Amino acid sequence: MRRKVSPEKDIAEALGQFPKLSKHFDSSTNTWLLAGDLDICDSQGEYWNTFNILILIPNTYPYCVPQVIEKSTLIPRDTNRHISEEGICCLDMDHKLLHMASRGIRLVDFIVEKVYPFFANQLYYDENKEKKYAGEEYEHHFAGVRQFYAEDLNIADVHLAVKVIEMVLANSIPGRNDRCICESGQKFKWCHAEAFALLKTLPTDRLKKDLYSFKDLPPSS
Amino acid sequence: MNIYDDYLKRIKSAIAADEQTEILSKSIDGIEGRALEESFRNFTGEAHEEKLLPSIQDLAQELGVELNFDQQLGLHPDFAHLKDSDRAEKHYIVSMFVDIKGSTNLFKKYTPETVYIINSTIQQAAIHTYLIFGGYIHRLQGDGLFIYYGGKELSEKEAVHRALRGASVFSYFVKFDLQNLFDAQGIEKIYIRTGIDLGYERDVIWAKAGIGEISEVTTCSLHTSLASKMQSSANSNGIVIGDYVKDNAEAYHNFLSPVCHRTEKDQDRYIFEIPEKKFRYTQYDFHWLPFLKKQDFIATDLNGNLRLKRKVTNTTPRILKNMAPIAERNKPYFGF
Repeated sequence: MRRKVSPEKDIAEALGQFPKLSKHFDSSTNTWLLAGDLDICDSQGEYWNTFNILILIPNTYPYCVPQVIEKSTLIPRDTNRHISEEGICCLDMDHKLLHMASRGIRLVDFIVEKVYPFFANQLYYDENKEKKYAGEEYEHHFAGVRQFYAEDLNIADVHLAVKVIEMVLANSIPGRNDRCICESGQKFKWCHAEAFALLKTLPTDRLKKDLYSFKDLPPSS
Repeated sequence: MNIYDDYLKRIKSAIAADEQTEILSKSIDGIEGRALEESFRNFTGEAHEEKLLPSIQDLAQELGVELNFDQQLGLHPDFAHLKDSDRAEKHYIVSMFVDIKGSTNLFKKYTPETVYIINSTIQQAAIHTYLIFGGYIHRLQGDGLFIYYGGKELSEKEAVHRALRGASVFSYFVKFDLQNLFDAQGIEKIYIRTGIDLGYERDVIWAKAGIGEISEVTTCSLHTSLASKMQSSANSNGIVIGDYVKDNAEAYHNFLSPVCHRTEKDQDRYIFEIPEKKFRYTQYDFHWLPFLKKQDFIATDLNGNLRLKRKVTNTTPRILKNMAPIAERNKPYFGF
């Protein structure tokens, strides 16, 4: 968990590493934004392309998920490119971003770990004759959320997902040495403890949204 | 920066040949110097060709520059007509002095032939860099260079812009690329100091200096003298500029600070004063690294290294597997 820090110091650090971005303060919303060019080079340092971007930093910084908007329109506005019509970039699964925000972000790390790889992946996709990304991608909308529960939290079963979310919402967390609720026979600490720990950091409305979506699924899902 | 790879290779191979010679001379009589001689012969065969090494050719290409190697020392093409004349002419000029320091240390470790190759390669990298940015090499002096920027077809502002960009690129080469190589070889620090000043038309006289063929067309100007003097005010790999350069670089004021801020000595604020005329001329440190990072032709990679923005060509295609390690970290989602 990061302690509360002044955004100015972290912004200065980020601008040192990404020098073609510049900072602006919006006094009406009391928020900072970074605007400018982000040059993308590959692992050998070879330059590929430049994106003109905006990074909007909420005033809850560092406990926030900055919004990234691609202004240069180099990325086609197509859902398969993980970008909205307005250029808002879907950098990662919401849950992972919200979890990261709950611990407090460091702006330069956010750009290095989330923003830069997103644009690198877009360039990879463009250059790839097979029109595929370098790694995996989440499916769109709730199908992607289910994929996240299955792949990242090891909760593939819908009933188990519902049970886990309800327990997290009720703050009813099993003891570390109890048998896991998934009936694997393992102790909780070796099984789904990490999944609970992550879900516990998410906002209640996010969990409720997931709960309703899981409950809405047809019984055979 | 990747544009200097071929220069670094040349220095590396000279050092390797020098080391090989040392080993052989200790072990086999009579074979002493063979590797070195070959290295020296190869160097002198290539070094004096009027062409850029391939790695820096990319920089010229990106900037859309066709290089003119028809220059002669001491004869700026726009003022060459003064060589055969007793006339003088007034015209603005940007003067730049570059001093390469610490190269004497090379003699502690290497033969004179190897030192020659290293020094000549550094000097050649300097000449090529300054030429690419439109400089005119006026004089080579030992471990230094004297360059003019500007002429009859160029504005003062553009000349200043080119001088600052050229000086910044070469400073980067010495401070990072060259230093990394020398660190790996255990060679003591080699660095440059650069002074740049602009003399306006009212302050600069162009005329022949010397006699007959023992002559050059040169400037007589306070600001040419101050450029040389400011070079000695610079710190290691630093660039110091004068007030008039600052006046023509409004967009770069964020990258300037008076030299006295660094030295914390009030007497370093002005490089020249005529108190009775209330003329006080300030010298500034030019913070070239953040300036360079902002340039259109430069990209900063994820490790903070500066790279030339090279366009894709058939000979330099994008290699997918080189982007994969970074791109794979992203697992995108669409939830709007």
